[in-house]
Amino acid sequence: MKRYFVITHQSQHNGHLNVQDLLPASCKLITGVTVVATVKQAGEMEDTTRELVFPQALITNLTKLDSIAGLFYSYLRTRSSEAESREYFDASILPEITSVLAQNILYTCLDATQQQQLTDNLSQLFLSGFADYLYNEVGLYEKGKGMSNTDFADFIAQHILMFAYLKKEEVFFHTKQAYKQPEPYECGNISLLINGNSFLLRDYMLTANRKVRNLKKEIIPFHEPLEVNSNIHTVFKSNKNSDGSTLTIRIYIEYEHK
Amino acid sequence: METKEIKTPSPIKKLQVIKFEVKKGQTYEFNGNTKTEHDRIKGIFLRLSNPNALQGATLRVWIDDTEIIPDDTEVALLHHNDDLSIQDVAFPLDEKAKNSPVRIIYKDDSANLAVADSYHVRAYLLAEVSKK
Repeated sequence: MKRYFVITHQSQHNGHLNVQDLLPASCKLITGVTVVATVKQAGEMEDTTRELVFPQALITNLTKLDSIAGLFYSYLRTRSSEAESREYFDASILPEITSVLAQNILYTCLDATQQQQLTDNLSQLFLSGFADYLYNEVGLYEKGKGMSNTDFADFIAQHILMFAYLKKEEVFFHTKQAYKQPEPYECGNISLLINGNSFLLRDYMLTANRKVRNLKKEIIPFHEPLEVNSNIHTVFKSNKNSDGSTLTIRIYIEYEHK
Repeated sequence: METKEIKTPSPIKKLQVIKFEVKKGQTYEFNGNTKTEHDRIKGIFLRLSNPNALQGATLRVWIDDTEIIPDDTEVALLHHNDDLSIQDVAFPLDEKAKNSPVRIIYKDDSANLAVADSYHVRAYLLAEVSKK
């Protein structure tokens, strides 16, 4: 059965370390070692933008509501000219679509002002861009001519979804204050000696604040039989990159335990 | 003479979850017991609801009055990342279950959380029940 032993040392003000520790009596065979260095720094706040999940199902459901689906009488697509059709769309249909979407797309993770912001962005997006998108890019007037009323409603519903999806980065996000993760940096060299003569690690470059993986992946394997009352000697040479912060070095010794 | 191979039935794998809430800067001590119906504890791993709290958090664990994770071990080393399978991530151990005591001392020392932040810690014990 493997057991672990942790040795913690702190280096302040870029100090070097030269210390000895007694290994536990039951530690007769070292099978691996890991060194982790961390610096505790006062975290800085920063604004981060996080994406919200695109409400695909919600928009699909909303476009099936009577208040939207019922809008598309043949009236719109049988207008005699594109300009007339578009004028009607701008005046009667677009405001209705926009208000249904804006009133119903709500996120519980947002507070009142953030929600208002999202609602405003969404309204703004649809009022300013959707008609252009439908008439210029999709070619609603030409395509709509031969469709039945339900097909036409489906067609518009589909494009509401597509338009919202294409522009999702402009609307579906929220800003949050989060603490910055400290940056990793090389903080010095470490050597580990057993009983003053056998090196476990020699001038091993230590990176502070690196992302630590699972113990199994961190362990550097060794096979180092020990006598009773062995000691481990830690020598750390700082490279003066730590400024005033306190560097905590943890050495994990994996050993065989019967 | 005919020899018959006696197969020991492979044990059934079970899971026990220990969940607690930790506030920034807090030391939380959990005292509990393994389940009576489980025979052995074969592994342990943890997950935090806020992985930002990993840095600086340390823990110490006893199962059946044996210290299996020594004081000041970083939680990051036992944390289940999404890129690892549970088989790979679990810290292997072999201790008696059957209502044995479990003690976890969890220390948060994270610099990267807002002051009022708290998060949930789940410790998973991989248990085995041998078939009778």
